[in-house]
Amino acid sequence: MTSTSSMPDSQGPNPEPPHWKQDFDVDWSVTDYVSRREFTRFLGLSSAGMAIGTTAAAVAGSLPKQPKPQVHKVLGRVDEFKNGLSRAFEYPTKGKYALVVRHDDGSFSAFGQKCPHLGCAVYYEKDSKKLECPCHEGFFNPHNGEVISGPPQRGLEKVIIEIAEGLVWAKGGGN
Amino acid sequence: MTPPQDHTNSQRSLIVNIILSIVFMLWIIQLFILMTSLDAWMGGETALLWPSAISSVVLTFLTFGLVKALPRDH
Repeated sequence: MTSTSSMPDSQGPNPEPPHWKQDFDVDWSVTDYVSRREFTRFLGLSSAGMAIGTTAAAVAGSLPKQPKPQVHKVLGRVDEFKNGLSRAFEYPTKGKYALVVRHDDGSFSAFGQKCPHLGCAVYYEKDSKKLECPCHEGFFNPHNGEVISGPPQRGLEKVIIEIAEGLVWAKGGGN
Repeated sequence: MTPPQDHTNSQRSLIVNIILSIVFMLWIIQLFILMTSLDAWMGGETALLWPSAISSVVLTFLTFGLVKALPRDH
């Protein structure tokens, strides 16, 4: 964009500095100047930092994990769950939620409600028959929890469901 | 390799540009490896963690080698 029309018409020995120089008055002599060499060295240093971070993740992943406690919980009678609908329940611990879905064929599946992308709560969209994360439009298969589309890189945490004596039980898993 | 003092200014500038470009590409790859590793670790997938760590360390040594090859500023 040019602004020559608004500039003063002074061609004398000491012309007035252009308007943009007055607005962006940068004294280059006192400005920190990063050379290409310095920038390359900085990249080298941060490269070492990233290697340390990746190695730390590998070490942390190799440490033995404590097994998750298998919480058994009754979710309700089978006939309380209608085909094609879902219900949220608190599982495996207080404050954490999971979602049980009863499919059209009468089978059940359940998953932790926390989206593996950024932790939003997923819900069952009964019309499209998909589990959906409303934050960034991540879609999951309601039968196995695998990612269908969207930003999540891995599927939902599965909750083991068992039917016994007319009751629906959650028996482990979830997040 | 020819000693740096034998290069002209334009040659030195070209060498710095080439090294900077390669180092930047390696840096991007390392960033990708780091993000993938963190994602795998949080998802409980451990199979890729050590290969990623080894690759990242190798890339760091490569980067250090290239940084060391930078011609001195005169």
